[in-house]
Amino acid sequence: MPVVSENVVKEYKRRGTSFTAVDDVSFTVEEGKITAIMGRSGSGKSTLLNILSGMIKPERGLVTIDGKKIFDESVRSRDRLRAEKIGIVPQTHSLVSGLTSYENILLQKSFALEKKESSEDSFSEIVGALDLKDLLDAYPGNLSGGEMKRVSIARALFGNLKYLFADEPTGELDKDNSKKVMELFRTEADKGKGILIVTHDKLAADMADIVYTMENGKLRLL
Amino acid sequence: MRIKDIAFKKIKNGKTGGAVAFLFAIILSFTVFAGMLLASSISIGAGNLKQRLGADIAVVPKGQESNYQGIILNGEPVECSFERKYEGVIRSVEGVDKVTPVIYLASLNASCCSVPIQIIGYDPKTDFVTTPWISDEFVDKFSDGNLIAGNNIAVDDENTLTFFGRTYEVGARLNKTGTGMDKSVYVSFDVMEQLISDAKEKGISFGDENAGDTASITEEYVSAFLVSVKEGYSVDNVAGNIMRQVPGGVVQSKSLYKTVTNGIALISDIIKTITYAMFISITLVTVFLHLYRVGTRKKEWAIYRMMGGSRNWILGLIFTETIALSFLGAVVGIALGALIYFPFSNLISQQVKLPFYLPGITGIILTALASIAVTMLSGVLPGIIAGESAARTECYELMREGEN
Ligand SMILES: Nc1ncnc2c1ncn2[C@@H]1O[C@H](COP(=O)(O)OP(=O)(O)O)[C@@H](O)[C@H]1O
Ligand SMILES: [Mg+2]
Repeated sequence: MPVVSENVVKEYKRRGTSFTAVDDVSFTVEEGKITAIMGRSGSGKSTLLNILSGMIKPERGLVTIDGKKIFDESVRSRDRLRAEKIGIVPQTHSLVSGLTSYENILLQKSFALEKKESSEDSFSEIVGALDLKDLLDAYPGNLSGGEMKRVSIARALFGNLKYLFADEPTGELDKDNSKKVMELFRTEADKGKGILIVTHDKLAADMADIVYTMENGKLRLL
Repeated sequence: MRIKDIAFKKIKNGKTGGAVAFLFAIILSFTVFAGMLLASSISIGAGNLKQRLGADIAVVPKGQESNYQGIILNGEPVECSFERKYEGVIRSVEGVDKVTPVIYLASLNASCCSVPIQIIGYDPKTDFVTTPWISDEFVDKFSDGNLIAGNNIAVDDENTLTFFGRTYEVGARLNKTGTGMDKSVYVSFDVMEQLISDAKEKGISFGDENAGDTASITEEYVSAFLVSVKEGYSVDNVAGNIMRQVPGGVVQSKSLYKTVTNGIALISDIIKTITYAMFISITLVTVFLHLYRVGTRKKEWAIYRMMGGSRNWILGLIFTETIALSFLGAVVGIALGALIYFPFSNLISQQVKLPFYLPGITGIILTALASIAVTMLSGVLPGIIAGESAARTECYELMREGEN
């Protein structure tokens, strides 16, 4: 069962007047597929992604994950849902300082109650594909923006969760690394993961199965 | 990774807030540890004093009452003379149980010590205040002609002491009391006679000039009589009776003890006040320190929430960090306290001018545990407040804040 958004609306207040950041969005993130959302900065992509992962509550509309209406649940159970099901790569830098890359990658798994098997193999597969071998002992302060992003992708994948939501995963990467990331996503999707990416990157979108565009909060199938 | 692993990493690689909180924990634990040790050292000293005084009443020549306090509390050398004939008179006073004469003699050039020490003569026939305190290990071998050394008297290799050119064997040692009694040497009256005549040959005179020609001084003159009161009699009444029949002054142990307990009460009040003030102010300061720490890490809380960490998990992490900082600070504070208190305990005891006796190892360990407990307790409130503050912040708001 997939992640489904039905008529989702999110309004923000800006200098007293409210405006609609996400405007009546209905779509589905399917398992085993890469779904991409493209669009200009400020069009509401990140807001939508944060709604789907239960971090922002919409004014109206329905979000169901595997049949569960997530905003009918408590905050705690939404936390748990993320811990158990959704690996997230946020748009901004999101490594915990004071922990090495390796420890950051392990971190995601400490929140899941039921520990899914992720073997040594899958670890070295992910680390190899993202070219992180030499960075495992480094602290975030010593990493470039692109390196941090790759570590946070590895972290979201290592949890071996059912879904992956990635906000601008290739945003700070060079062409070579972007390609590696998308190829890794492809492999993961082929293994059954439901992947949603938000991106500016035309090349990244080209590798997706389904592509939407977003403009002024409205989502359109491309 | 478990919360405690993450907490320790964050502490190790953390920013200033944690280091300052650590420092405050050190200060608090140091204060509590050293303060409690000092308080128990003087109260044990006072307890020893109470036991060791042995006598309820000291009868001394008129006007010498305050000198007598000096002998007991600080071991200050003093001389005085009192006609021995009153011994029988005192013994017959109603309510008197035991009477024993003592002679206090200052030695300016003892072999043991660079400072003058007090030589105290006791009468083996009637003594009930000195010999009962000989350390167990000496009881069997002790014989009357030997010296008894207070616990602080340094003895030479042959276990002897030299006074006025003559060498004496030290037959026994007294248990430590933490009072002036530790700095005294006790001799029987026979030895005392010897000491006095040796001193006279060297041109040093003692006490009452009238005593000068007497062959056997101790038969005629002593410094004081120590008196114990029979069970069921009021010490005040017996002291009054003695004063009426003997031309002397009277010092009651309880008044002597009172000056000490007053001093102790004052010092422990000061220690208590300082400790309370420290506890409260450091707890408050630590609240703000940890709130500051939590405030600078908003992005981190958002990251944990994003990964599915609950509010309680975050609260748990901060609480663990806070308590761990308190604990580590407490341990360092105690180590510092021990490093300062034990080597300098002699100096401290001289400064407080009160009986002073270090607690035993169990007492010290208990004091250390109590200091750790108090210091960790002062981390509980900051931990909860800071943890709540971090747990309350909304995760999505934070992800945006990080964007700018
Ligand atoms: N918490 C918020 N409060 C007010 N305005 C917001 C908030 N979050 C996002 N916005 C605004 O909503 C719009 C959509 O933002 P966002 O979803 O981040 O867009 P995108 O990811 O497509 O760049 C922007 O105009 C942004 O400034
Ligand atoms: Mg965005």
